Amino acid sequence: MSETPGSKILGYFAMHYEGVYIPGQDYTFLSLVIYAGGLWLCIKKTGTVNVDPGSNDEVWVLSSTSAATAEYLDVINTLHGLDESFDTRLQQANDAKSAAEAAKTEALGSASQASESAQAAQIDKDAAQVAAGQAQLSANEAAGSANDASASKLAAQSAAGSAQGSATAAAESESAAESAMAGAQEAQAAAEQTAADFQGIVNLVGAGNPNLLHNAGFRKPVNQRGVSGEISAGTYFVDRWIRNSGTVTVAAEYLTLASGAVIEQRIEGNLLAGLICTISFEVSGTIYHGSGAFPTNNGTVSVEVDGYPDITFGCATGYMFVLIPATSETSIKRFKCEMGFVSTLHLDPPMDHAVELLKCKRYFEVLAGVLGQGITTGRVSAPPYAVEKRIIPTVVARNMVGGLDSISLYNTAATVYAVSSIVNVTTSSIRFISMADTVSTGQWYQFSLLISADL
Amino acid sequence: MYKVYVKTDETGRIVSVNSDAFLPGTDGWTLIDDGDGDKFMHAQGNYFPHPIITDEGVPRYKLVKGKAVERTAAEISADIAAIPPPPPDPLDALKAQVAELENRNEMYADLIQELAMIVYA
Repeated sequence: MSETPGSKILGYFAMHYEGVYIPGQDYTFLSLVIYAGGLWLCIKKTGTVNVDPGSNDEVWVLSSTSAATAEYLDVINTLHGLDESFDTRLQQANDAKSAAEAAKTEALGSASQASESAQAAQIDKDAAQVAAGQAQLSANEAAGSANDASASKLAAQSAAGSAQGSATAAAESESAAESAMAGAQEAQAAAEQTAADFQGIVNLVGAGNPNLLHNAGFRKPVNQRGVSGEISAGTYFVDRWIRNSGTVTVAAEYLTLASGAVIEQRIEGNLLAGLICTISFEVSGTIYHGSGAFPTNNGTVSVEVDGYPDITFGCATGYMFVLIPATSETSIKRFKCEMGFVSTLHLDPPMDHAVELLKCKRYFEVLAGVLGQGITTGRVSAPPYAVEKRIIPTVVARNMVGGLDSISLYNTAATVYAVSSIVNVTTSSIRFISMADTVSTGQWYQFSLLISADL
Repeated sequence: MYKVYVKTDETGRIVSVNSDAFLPGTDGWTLIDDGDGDKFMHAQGNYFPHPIITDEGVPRYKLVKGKAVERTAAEISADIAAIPPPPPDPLDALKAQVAELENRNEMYADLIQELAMIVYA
């Protein structure tokens, strides 16, 4: 149907066949019913109920007589059949559409899932690549730095390949570490056994190490300064030993350190830096000892001594040193510091005073009561040292009655002449004493020279 | 840490150097430096690179504004030139007297010999 000039389509309507009229049933507008041999059409827009066709012309109108009704009904039925067919096909189409939509939805869902799966797979792939990169980096680092490079590198490369490989490598590393620990423990046990064996051998053959300390026997120490009794001032007392703090007492058979006292001996040079040494000392018949490594740079380290306060090993410019403290009054007969981790003090003979005297004179010497002659006006000669000194020493002249920086006239000790300076000192001699007072050429003078090259 | 002191004469020449490790007192001394090690502890023979007195007995260093500096060669030469000559050696005079007596004895011997020849001619 199409619009014609002067007309306008407002909508569409159609009659619908309802079969034989049934009293009491609701009929809507344009319902067609068969009643009394005729075909009746409901024309009431609001529909009707319990109004029989023919009883009210505003509700029902006769659409066809009975002759035409059968033919009409065929048409109607055909149409109805077509409608049913259409409805069936429509339903089928709708079903198909629904099925298609459902399939589409399902397909979309599947696609979304597939996309998510793809994204997840990509993420997994990226993560795997990152993990692989990290693992490769770990492998490179391990390969570059570890001493046991081969095992670590293999472990790291295995980690790069797979997590399982890493786990395996880790397990192997752990196993290797355990093996190394076990090896270290065995080595320590072996070292301890070796030390014990060595100590046994040392005891058996009576072999001892040289003592790195000088003048370390206090039963008869070298004592060129002539100190005795309690000493609580100054530094050097008996040769080579420094009173670092507190009070020490030089007795006939031992050295006593008061509580709080610290004594020190300095060892020439830095050749012991980083070396393991053992310090030992005898107190009331008991030998205490401890071992440790001297520091490699300027500084100190503590050395534990069983039953005694810690000893200190130190390093300073030009010398190493040992500090021995006392937390209670302690009388010590002898000391020893030796290379290695074994104490051999108990094997040592008594200190050889003559040998130690020569050693001590390398650091300090007293030329006592020597003679010098007036060379020219203002100069007096002096004899050479008994032992060459480690450096150019500091020399002080002392007259025969004890005064410093002056000399005495020979055989007349109280006649003294002031010294200006000790001139041109070498490690083995001094050239002459420069006098502040006038001296006579050829005249003999007497004096002592205190020659110190102490550390 | 050791302190290094010097002692000077009236003209500022350094005549002695030492460290507080060896000086019982520092009156009359001038502090010039401090530090650790042999150079400072044993300053007497190790602080300066050369002996503080030359072979001629002249101070090699001087104190200028609190610092020790080496004297110039001209200053040292001037000091050497100003050293008074040593007094005559009494042994030399004795030797001269002996030589003179020997000459005189020889002359007396010659005279006696000549007189003898005249007397016994």
